[in-house]
Amino acid sequence: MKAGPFLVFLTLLTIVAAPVAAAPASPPGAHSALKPPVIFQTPMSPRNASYAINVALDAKAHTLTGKERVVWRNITDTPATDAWFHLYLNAFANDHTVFMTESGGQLRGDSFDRNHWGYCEVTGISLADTGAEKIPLVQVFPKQDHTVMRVELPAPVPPGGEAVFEVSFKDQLPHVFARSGFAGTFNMAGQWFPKLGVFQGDKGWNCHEYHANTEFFSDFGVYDVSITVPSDYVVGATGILWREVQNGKEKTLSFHAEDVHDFAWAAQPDFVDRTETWEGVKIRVLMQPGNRGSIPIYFASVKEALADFAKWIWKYPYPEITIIDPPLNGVGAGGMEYPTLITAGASPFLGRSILIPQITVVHEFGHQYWYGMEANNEFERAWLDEGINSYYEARIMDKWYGPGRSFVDDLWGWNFGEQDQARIAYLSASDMDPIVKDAWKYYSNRSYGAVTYFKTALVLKTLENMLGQKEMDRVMRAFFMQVKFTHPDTRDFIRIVSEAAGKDLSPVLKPMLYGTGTVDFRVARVRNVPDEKPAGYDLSEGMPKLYAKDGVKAEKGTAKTKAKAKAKTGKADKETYHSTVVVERRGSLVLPVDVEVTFADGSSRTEHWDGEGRYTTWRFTGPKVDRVVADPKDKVPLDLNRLNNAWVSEGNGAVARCMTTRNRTLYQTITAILFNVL
Amino acid sequence: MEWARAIGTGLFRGRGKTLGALLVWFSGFILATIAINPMRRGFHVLFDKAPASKALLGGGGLDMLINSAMKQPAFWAAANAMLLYLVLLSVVLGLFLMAGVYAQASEKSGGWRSFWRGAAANVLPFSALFLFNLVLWVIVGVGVGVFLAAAWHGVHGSMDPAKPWHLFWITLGTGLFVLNLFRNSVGYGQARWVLIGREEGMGLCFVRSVVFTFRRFVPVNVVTWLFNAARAIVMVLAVFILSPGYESTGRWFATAVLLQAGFLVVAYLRVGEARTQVAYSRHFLAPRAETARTDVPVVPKDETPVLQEIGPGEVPGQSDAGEDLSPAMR
Repeated sequence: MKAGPFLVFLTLLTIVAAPVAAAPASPPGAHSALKPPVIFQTPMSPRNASYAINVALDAKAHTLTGKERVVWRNITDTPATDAWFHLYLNAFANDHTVFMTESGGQLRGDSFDRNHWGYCEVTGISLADTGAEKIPLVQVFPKQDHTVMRVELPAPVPPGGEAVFEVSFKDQLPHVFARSGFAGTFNMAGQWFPKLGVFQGDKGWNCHEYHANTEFFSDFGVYDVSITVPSDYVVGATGILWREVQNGKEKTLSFHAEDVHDFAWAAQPDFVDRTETWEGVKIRVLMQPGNRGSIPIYFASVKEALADFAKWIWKYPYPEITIIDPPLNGVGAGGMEYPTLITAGASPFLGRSILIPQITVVHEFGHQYWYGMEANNEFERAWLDEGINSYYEARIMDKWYGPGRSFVDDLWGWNFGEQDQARIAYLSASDMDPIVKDAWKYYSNRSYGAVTYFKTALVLKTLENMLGQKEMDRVMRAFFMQVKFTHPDTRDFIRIVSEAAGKDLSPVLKPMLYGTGTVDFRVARVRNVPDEKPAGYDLSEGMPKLYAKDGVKAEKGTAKTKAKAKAKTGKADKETYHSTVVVERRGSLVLPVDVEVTFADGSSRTEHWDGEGRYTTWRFTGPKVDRVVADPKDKVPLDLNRLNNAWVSEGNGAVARCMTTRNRTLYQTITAILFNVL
Repeated sequence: MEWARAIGTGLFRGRGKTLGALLVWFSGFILATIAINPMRRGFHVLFDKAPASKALLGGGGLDMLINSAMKQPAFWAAANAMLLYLVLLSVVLGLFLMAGVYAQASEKSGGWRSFWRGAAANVLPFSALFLFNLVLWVIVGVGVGVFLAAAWHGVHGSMDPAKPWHLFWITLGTGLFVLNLFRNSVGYGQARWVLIGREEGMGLCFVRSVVFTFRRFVPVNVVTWLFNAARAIVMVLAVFILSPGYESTGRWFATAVLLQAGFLVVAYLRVGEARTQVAYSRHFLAPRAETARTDVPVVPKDETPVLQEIGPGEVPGQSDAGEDLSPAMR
C-alpha cells in the first residue's frame, strides 16, 4: 500500500511523457521521407472528415492520451457557424448520462462495472485553418450529457471551405462495456477520440447523444493513426499497418485507412496473431490464447462472407479485414463492427452444433457494406444497416449450412435456422414499433432488436420471395452501388429498389417499413356441396313445375353411410361438388399470398390473392376440395401464425405422434430418473 | 472383488428380477402415458391440419412450437402442470416399487408374493430413509454449492475463456458426485433395512448405512457408477444413435419400440443395481441378517469372501460402525 502515491506519480509521468517520447515526430500527413501508402488511387468517398491522430496507451492505467488534427470540409450548400463533436466515452462517466439512464448499466447481457468509469476529456481545442496561428475554441455541451461537444467558429466555414481542428484529449477507458474498454490486459479502443458529427446543411449538425440503443453516424475521410503501446503488445486496428518504430520499452505503430468513417483498435500482449488471404484480401485474426481452437472457424466464416458479398453485392474493396476475439471478461466488446475491423466472440461452451461464432463473424463482416460503405445514420435509421445486414447474414448462413439448420446444426437431433430465429424474435415484439424510427425511441430494447434486425430481415425475405432471388440480388446490388459512401435514407431505398425492379414497390414496402401492421393468413372456411339434381319448383318455364324426384330420393341411410358407400365404390372422387374456399387476412398489413387448392382427384391449382380486403372467396365446381394451404412455399415469413394456414379434409397425425413420443420420452426419462434415485 | 460378484448376483442370479424390471418399466410407461394423454390430444388439434408443422418431424420447425405456445398458451401451461403430478406420482410409486424390489432381492423365494408383501411392508420405512437422506444431502449440497458459487463469481475477472468451461465441468462433476453419494446412502440404507433394519431400528439403520457407504467407498461407488454408465449408454443409444426418426409411420413405430426397449433395459439395470446393493450388503451383514430374518437364504458358496481380500488397512475386529460381527466374513 505504501507504493501507492509513487505509482500514481509514475502513472501521471507516463501519461504526460508518452505522446512526447513515443509518438512520431510529426503527424502522418506531414511525413516527407516516409509517407503512408496510397490505398485507392481514386477516392471512393467525399473524404470530407479526415483525422491524423497520435495516441499513447498507458497499459496500467488504461488511459489514452492523444492529439488529433481534423480536416473537415463543408460539402453542403450552407455555411457552418459551429462544429459538433461526439465524445462517446463520456457516456460512461457517471450513472446520470443518457446511455446509463436508458440502459440501467445493462447491455446485451453485459453489466457495467461501476468501479471502472470512463471518460473522454478534451484538454484543448483550437482552429488551425490559417496554418500560422491557432485560435482556441470554447467548448460548450449543448445536450443532455457530455457525449456531445459544440464549439463556436470565429468565422463560418463556407460551402466547399475547410476547417482544421487541433484537439488534445485524454481518455479513461472503462471496464469493457458497450463495445469499448479494458479487461485485464485487453484494451478495446472504440469510439475513443473526439469525432465530428455530420453537418447536414439547413438541418445543422446531426450529432446525437450516445444512447443505449444507438450506434453511430459520421463522415468519410482518411485516417492516419499512430498508436504507442508497450513493446510486447499486439495491436489490431482499422486500415493497414505501414510503419512500426521501436522506442525502448514502447513501440509506435502507424495505421493508414482511406474512405472510412471511424477508426478502432485493440491491444493485448498475448493475442494469438494469425493471417490468411482471400483473393488478395488479408484476413488477420487476433485470438485469445484459450480460444485458438476457433481460429479456423473465424477464417472460414469471413471467407464465406467475402465470397458471397462479392457475388451478390460488390467485391470487398479494402486490402485488409481484422477480427478481434475479446476475452471472456470483455465480451461486451464482442460482436461489433468498425471499418475493416470487427470483433467477434468464440466460446468453448458452444460446441460444434451452435453456430454463434460463425454467425457473429458473418454478421459483423456484413456491416462492412452497410454500416461501413453505405454509412447510413444509425441513430435514426438503424434498419438500413442492422436489418439489411441481418437479411444477408441469414442468406449466407442458410447457403452455408442449409436453411433450417443455420443457427443450430443437429444438436441432439434438433435443428434451428436463421429464419426460425428471426420469426421467433419478431413474434416476440411484432407490432409495437415501426422499422423506420429513431433507435432510442423504441418501446423497449427487445422491440428495437425484434423490429430493426429481424422484422427487416423478414421484410427483405418477403421482398425476395416476391421478386425472385436473382432479381432481388440485382435490385439490392443496384441499391448498394448507387448509395455507397453517401449516407442514404429510407426514401432512397424505396426509390432505388423500385427503379431497379421496374415497378413501384412503395405500396408494399411503405406499410412494412413505416407501419406497425401485422399479417396472419388463415383458411377460414372450406365447404364442399354435392352437385345434386334440384328439388322444389322449376320456375324457368313460366309456370311453376315440380322437379322430378328421381334425383333426390336415390338412397336411404345417413349422410355418413352414404359417403362410406360412395368411397367403397370409388364414386366419391368422380362426383361433382360445388366447393367454396374462404381465406382470411388478419391484421392490417396487406400482402399478396398464394393459395394452393388440392382436389380429391389429386389435381391442384394455385390461386393468387393480392391481399386486399379482409378475406377472399374462391368457388370451384368439380372434384371435392381436399386440401387448402395459404402460402404453401412460406413466401410470407411475416405471417404471425402458420399453424392456421391450412385446411385438410383428413388430418395427418404424424407430427402429433412424433411430438407425443418425444414428450413421452422426456416424461418417462423423468420417471426413470426418479425410480433410480429412490 | 466382492463388488464384482455382487454385480453378477444382482444382475443374473436369484428369482424375480425380470418380474421386478417389468413392473418398474410398466409403471413408468403408464405414468408417462397418463401424463402425456392430454398433450397427445392437444398435439393432434394443433398439428394434424397444419402442413407447415411437418418440419418438426425432422427436428426443426421450432417456430411452430413458438406459434403454438403464443396462440394456445393454455395448452402448454396445462401440459407443464402435468409434470408436477408426474413427479409426485413417480416419487410415491417409485418408493413402493423399490420397497418391493429390495424386499424381493432379500428373500430366497423372490416371487410375486414376496414383491408385493415387501412393497407393502417397507414403503413407509423406505420413505423415512429417503427423507433422512434428503435432508442430509441437501445440507451437504448447499455447503458445496456455496464454494462453487464463489468460484463462479471469480470467473468475471478472468481473461481465460476456457475457465468457465473448466468450472462448468467441475460443477457438473461435483453435483453428480454429491447426487451419487445421496443415491448410495439411500440404496444401501434400503438394502440394510430389508436385511437387518427392523432389528436395529430406523435411526441406526440410516446412520450405519451412510457410514457403510464411506467405509466401502471405492467398491460402493464403482458399482454405482458402472450402473449409471450402463443406463446412460442405453439411453443415448436408444434416443440419439439408433433412433430411426419420425419421418414415416414405420420409422415412428420403430423409434417408439426402440425407446421402450431402452426403458425396459434401464428398468432391468435399476432392479439389478438394487439386487447388487442387497447382495453386497448381505456379504457384510450375513450373520446378523441370518439371525434377524428366517427367510434370508444362506450366502451362496461363490459369494463367500476369502480372507486374502482383506485390505492392508483393515484390521479384523474393526467393524463397520460396530455391526460387522464376524471378522472372518470381511
